[in-house]
Amino acid sequence: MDKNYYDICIKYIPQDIPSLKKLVSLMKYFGYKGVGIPKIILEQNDLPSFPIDIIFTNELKNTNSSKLYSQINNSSKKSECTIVVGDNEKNSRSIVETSGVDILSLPLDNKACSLDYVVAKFAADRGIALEFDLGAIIRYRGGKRVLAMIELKHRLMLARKFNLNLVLTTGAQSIYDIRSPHDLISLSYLVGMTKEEAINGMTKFPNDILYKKRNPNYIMDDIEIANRITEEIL
Amino acid sequence: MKMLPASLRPRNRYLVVEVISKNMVSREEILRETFEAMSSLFGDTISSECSIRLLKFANQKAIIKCTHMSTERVRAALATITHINGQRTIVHVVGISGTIKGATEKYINDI
Repeated sequence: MDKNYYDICIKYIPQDIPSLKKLVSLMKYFGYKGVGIPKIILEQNDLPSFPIDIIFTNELKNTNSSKLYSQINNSSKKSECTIVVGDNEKNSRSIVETSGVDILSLPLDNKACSLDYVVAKFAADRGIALEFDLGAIIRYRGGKRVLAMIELKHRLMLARKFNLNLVLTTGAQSIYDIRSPHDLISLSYLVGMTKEEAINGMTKFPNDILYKKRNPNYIMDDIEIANRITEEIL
Repeated sequence: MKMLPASLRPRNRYLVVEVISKNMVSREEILRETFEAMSSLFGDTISSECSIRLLKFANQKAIIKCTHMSTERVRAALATITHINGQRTIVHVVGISGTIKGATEKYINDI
């Protein structure tokens, strides 16, 4: 189980350094390599070093289709991962047609946010991953959980059809919503996911997103700068 | 009485779980929440097939016995426990073993 597990879509916002340390120690205890934090009130430069990788994500909600490009462009400069929440079908379509989006998040409790074929295909073609929130199985009970599981199965079916990358997350709104990677794998079995798909959703796909952002030589898929000519040589 | 051969004995798994909560949790509370989570997620029929037993509980750590085929189901059900006695809680599976001795030696020393 020595894999580089990431949970980059958590919703919990640590208010101060002790709460951030508590989150980090719990994630490390559970075996995560890195955690994505939506935003932080503290200055990023003031942060102490942590034993796991901290990824600063930016979650955009209630995006206006006409201003979407500028919002995403600003966000992608400030953060390492841009997550955009699709409020309805029209909005989701605009999001997947815009460059710079890393993860598309579609809330499971809103029927208007259901994933359709067009959005799934566009997202897959543009290398945008889809958030796969298993926290819905943890948080909800009764009919709401049944509907959430039906929607997750539908998303998994579309993801398999179009080779769409799914990023597994707990969607934690508190540190008590966090679960270990193996617990998430067990939960993913409930919606028909295989072990390999679940592991890829916590290791390969988040790593791919971070690689694109952190590697200065990366241009686009399969195109990278092999040797950078330095000023000294010139 | 002669012991059953190994091939005929039921295969069990022993899950070592740790309760992470602000307050101390009693044995009855963790047992009640485990059964509630199982029947809520899978229903009573499948829950009965899992043959869950809480064997030991001390220092917020427990050993839960289940059949070897239902390990993932039990693990998923334990992950859905969010509250015990009104307090936010995480039930974290520390490890799984095929024998009680193995579970105790490998994952817990103080139980």
